[in-house]
Amino acid sequence: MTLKPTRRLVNVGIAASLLTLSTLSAHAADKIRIGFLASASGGPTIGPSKELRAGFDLGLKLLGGKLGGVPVEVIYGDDQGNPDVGKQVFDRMVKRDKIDLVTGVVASGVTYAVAPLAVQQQVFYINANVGPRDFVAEKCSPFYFNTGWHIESINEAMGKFLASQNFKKVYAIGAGVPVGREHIEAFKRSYGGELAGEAYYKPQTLDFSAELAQIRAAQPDAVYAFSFGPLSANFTKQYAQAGLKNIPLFGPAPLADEENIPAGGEAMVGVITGGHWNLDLITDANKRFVAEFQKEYNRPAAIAAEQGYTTVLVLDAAIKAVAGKIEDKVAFRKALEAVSLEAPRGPMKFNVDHSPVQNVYLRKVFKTEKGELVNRMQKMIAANQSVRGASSCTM
Amino acid sequence: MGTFLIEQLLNGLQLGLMLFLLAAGLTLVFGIMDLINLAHGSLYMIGGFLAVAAVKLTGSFYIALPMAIVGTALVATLLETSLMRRLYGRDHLSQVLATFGLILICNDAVRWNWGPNAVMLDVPAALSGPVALFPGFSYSAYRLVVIAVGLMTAAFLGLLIHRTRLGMWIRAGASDRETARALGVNIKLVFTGVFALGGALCALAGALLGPLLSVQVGMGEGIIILAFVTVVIGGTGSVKGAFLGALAIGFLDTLGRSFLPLWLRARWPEVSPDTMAPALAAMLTYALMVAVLCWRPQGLFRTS
Repeated sequence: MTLKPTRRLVNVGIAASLLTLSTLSAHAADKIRIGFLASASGGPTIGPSKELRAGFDLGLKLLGGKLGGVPVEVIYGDDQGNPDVGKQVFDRMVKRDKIDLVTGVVASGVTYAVAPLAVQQQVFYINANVGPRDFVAEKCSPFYFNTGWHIESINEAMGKFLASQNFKKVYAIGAGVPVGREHIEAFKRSYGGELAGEAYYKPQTLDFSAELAQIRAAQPDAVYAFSFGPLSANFTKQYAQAGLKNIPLFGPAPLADEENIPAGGEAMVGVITGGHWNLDLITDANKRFVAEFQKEYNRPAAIAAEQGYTTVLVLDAAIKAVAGKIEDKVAFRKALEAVSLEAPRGPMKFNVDHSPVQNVYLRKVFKTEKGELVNRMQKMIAANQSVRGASSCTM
Repeated sequence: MGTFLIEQLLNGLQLGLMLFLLAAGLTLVFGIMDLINLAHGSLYMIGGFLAVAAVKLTGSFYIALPMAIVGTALVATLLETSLMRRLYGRDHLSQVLATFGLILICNDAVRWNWGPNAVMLDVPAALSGPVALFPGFSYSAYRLVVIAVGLMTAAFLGLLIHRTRLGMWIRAGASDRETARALGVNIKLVFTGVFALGGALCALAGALLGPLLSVQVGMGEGIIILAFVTVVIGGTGSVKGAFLGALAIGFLDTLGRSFLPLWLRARWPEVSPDTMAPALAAMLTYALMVAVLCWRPQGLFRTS
């Protein structure tokens, strides 16, 4: 391709200025800027968002406000659980606040809106919550990492578990959010048996009477439900009131979590969920995390809080490995990929597609003698669970 | 199938009655004061949260319920005398703007006091289980109580509007405000009374639905849209219209959500109806509104 001389001159000029810029910024940063995007004022994900932030802030506080020894400035943004707002806030974080990476994001709708933008602009997107299929395996990206949990790993482990318990006629019901179908499909894939029925409801649903009547009419031997936040509390409460308590209720972790168990109350007792972490998990890292969380916030930690906390641990390890030179994106990416640590949830590392490889535990809600409602760990149902077809990732 | 239908009819009745509690206040305020009050849902939310607070204080749902109703009626009176009164003469756009702002203020006030997470309001222990209505069919005891209270409130409102002097003033105000004023009705007092009554009905709905649904910030926004649809269908200012409209929407929404998936699955087994059915069912209520508006643009029972 031949260019006009003037045009070539301009290009050279741009290249030169870019070079100066890059040499300027190749020094170790004196401060790392992290964009923390989550819902603070709206949408059903506000509860988990609050927990995620609590865990994140606690992790950072315990490290003296530094990651890998470098001071950190966190820019908090409120996505209101709304994809459009999420995009705007992310844009502002990149342009005005010059963030080095973005994390948080609880609502999957916001993930779908913001993650492609971040990846495109080569801003590291550290997904601290649930990871959908669309960003891993063959759709992986150098700039996308998931420190939370992956939809498939949890639901597939649960499907296998229900099949092993000889449930023959499970009714599957999920919230009609972008990832709702993915949750249920992953469960169905490994459960393999006959379904008594399958339904999706609007995430604005308050009254589940129509859905519950269908479940009753289908006469399943178990119900597998994906929901989150206050939806879970509503669903389980009405499930109990409808007299369906004799049909065991299963689901991925957000169905019954420390975050929404208080709102669900007694109805939550006996609900069994699969998750990558539980409050009473016996690991050194977890003992410390649970105790510090209780001390800081005077309430038990929820699963999203562990995700926020572990995200800090992962970032700390990677930034330490590059000695704070987070601007060197290739080196920072390699450092993140190499992270392998003992998190509260147990051993955690990234697969080749940057999805987490971790254990899945079975949790069940009990009422203690003091009348408190807590999740108790039952057993590990999958060790080092990874995403299907992770190796098909090429970067 | 028989019991399934009965259960769904009861569910529809319950939803319709609760919608009526919200729509009755809304339609009166709209019909009499000509005020579009978007913040009506906030009163519903306040009722729910006051019920939670009162249960914590007294330990009894039955004592908490009247406390929440009185408390919310007081809040409504305060709102009417301080803010709403200034909006009556304004155009609808200013009213929408002001009451929308009020929603934001109420949401933040509640969040500040109770936090962003949903809070629990437990069903009284005696009503927490299902009750056998006839052999082979049981229904949530609490929902039955909600239906009973809803029916009683509807009857009470009917008597109040059609058989008492206050009701006469209200009806007079709804059909012709100026003439009513000229004939010596203390319109100012009626306005405050109607607004407080609307608040009390909201609180009743909020407190009754609290144990079924979550008590949370923004709980009013979802249901208030349905309440507005009810008012449009029933005709502004008509409590009878609100009652019939609410029942129509309650049945349509519930039956649509339960029978549409079954019907779609039987009709087109090859198409997955799981996500289509809820979307179609949600459209039904709006389709009804459009049909009513085409047929009777003033609503079923508009008084003036």
